[in-house]
Amino acid sequence: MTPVQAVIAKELRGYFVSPIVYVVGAVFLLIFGLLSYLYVGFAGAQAIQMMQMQGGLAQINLNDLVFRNLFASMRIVLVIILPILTMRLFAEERKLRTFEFLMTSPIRINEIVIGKFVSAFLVYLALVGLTILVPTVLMLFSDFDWNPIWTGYLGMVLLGALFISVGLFASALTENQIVAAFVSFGMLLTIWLIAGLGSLFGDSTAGRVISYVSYMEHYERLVRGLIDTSDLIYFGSGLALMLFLTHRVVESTSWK
Amino acid sequence: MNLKSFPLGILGVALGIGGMIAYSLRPDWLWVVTIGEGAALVCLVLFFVLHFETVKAFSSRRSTRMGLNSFLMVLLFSGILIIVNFLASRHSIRWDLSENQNFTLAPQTHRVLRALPHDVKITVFTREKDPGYQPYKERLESYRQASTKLSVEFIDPEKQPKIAQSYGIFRSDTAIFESNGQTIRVTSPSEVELTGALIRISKDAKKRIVFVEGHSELNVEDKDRNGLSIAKEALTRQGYDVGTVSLLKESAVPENTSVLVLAGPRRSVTKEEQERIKAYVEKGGHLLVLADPDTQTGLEPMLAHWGIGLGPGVLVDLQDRLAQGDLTALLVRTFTEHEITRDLTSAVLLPLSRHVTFDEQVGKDWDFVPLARTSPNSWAETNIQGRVVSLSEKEDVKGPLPMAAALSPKKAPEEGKPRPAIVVIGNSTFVSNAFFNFPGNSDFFLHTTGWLAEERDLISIAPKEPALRPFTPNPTQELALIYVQVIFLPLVTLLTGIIVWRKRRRL
Repeated sequence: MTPVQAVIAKELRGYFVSPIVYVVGAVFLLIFGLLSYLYVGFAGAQAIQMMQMQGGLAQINLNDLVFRNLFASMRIVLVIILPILTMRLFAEERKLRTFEFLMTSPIRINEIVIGKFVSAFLVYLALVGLTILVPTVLMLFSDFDWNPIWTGYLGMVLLGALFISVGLFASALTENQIVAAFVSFGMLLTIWLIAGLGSLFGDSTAGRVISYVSYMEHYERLVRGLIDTSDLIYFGSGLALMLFLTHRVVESTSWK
Repeated sequence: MNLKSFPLGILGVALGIGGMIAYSLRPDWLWVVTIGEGAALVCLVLFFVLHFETVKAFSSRRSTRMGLNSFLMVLLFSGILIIVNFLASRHSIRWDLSENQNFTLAPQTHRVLRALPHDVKITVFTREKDPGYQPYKERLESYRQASTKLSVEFIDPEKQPKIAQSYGIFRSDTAIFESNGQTIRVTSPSEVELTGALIRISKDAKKRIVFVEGHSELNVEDKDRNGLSIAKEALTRQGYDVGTVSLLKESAVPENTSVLVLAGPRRSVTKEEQERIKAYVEKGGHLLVLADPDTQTGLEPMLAHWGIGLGPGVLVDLQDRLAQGDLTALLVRTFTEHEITRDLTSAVLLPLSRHVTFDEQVGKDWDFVPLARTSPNSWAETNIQGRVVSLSEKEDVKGPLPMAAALSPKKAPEEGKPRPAIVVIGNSTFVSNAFFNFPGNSDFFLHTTGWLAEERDLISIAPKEPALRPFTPNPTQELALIYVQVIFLPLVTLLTGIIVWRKRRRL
């Protein structure tokens, strides 16, 4: 077992024996299921209304009315839920004084950072994987295009990876888990709101640069069914930067 | 308190920041800023001199060096990421997996973009809350990615009213195309409009489409159901100059005519007029004849000159017809492979048509291509009185029959001379205002005029309609959705958590 695998195994064990992952998972799945159910109901009501108004078939489909809205709504759910999933990663180690053991172990800092990130990401992937049941059940009753759903899932996986890396960084800054959760929540919300700031500047260079920094437009494109290499690179860069910053913060503890 | 214990450092930093804030708020109060920044400088220099030993010790500490080193590394790493993102946003590759291919441009648009002769500047006047904002943004981004000759700028007419005023913008969601001294205004973000504007702006001289008048033909100025005003508008949007001609008044078809259209004459066309049309075609002209059934136009001798005949009766189709209409309302889906029909995706609705025949002996110098045909379950009904129900083998002509055909000479023309071309369609009402907006009809007409005017890139682009997949769950389906999505998954997860937690408590 490589050091990274050892860290992942240890972290995963930590996740699955604590009730937190089950509570977070249940809430996540409940919100995903409830939102999709509500959007299906809304789409159905709208179909009936449009058919009555126009006397014919309504120009509606589940991709537009259910899945696009569902993935768009999941952004806010992830902003709230993922900091809870990541808050313990480093903060708990500091609180329980196991951080020094970890630092003096032969495992390198980048292996610790990557191991901790991958473990949280795997838990998140498992939760996202479970949600596939939702479109699968809908598929039994109705007809829709799977391609934009896959790109929506890709968006959710990339967004989740970015959020987990931000949460990991916040967790490395403090020994208090609540503070870690709030810091990452605040950071994610700030990056979200930056998109609004960008739109205030309009279509100027400054506006475009500011909007680019926010994950909003990058995620939006994936939800709408477009895979653009620049969006993939945005998520990859954000992830790399946050992991690098986490590495620097963890290393800084050994400077004194 | 002596000077050494006074918080000079804090004061210096505070004054420095305060000066900068003051400058950002009131740039004209430069003297205040200068005093503030000067005081800050004095404080910091004093602090540095008085605490020289402490500063020296701090800078030589391991943590300071490591921190500075780390700061530089973060700066360097961020710099690399910024460059990578800058390059990636400039040269990105896209895969459009959206349901209606919202981000993919039609092949025609790509052709137009490739052939752009000059740089085109597009200024879009729209506000973020306007319905056109997002479509303009997404579509023009795809255009910009496909051509380096385009520059796009978005302007909020409320925030920058002066620029809007200089362009004379009175309504939002308007785009101005500028190139080579020409300006074109577009008011809809649809691909048809945007590509049409690009075609028009990239052309130096407009091609002219001329409609013959004087025989109760459909009129291009008429806005009624039987008029051609919508077709005229569509042609203008495609960059053509549309006009009319009376061949009784003129001694010949005007010189600059690219396409001459006979749009469903109801009265007979005189021999002189037919001679003028024939002379025009012989010189390399392009003729479009729309001839309705049951009309006495006397065009037969002229058409017979090229081997074309107008079949008797009205076409009846049991299979390819409009569901709500009678048997003569043809909904044609069978097209022959030809430049005109290659990109046709929708059926063409032809109410009350006649078929076209060809005499190979007479027209041996011409290539005859039937463009569209009725189904095998069709015939030309010669007894048009009363209800049409069955084929009479004796009198009627059995289908499938062509109701549209294109003719071009077999021999290539002499160098530098235009190649004549003729299209005959056994119906004119499909172009009228009542039927033009039927997707197949506008496509078929614009493809035909495009082919005749030898504008291979001037082909209409079908609008992308959202896919239609309505779904209204019945009570059983609704319950199934609640059980699986809302209850089953979260409950199983929660129960697993409780089991794990209880197990751990027992340990």
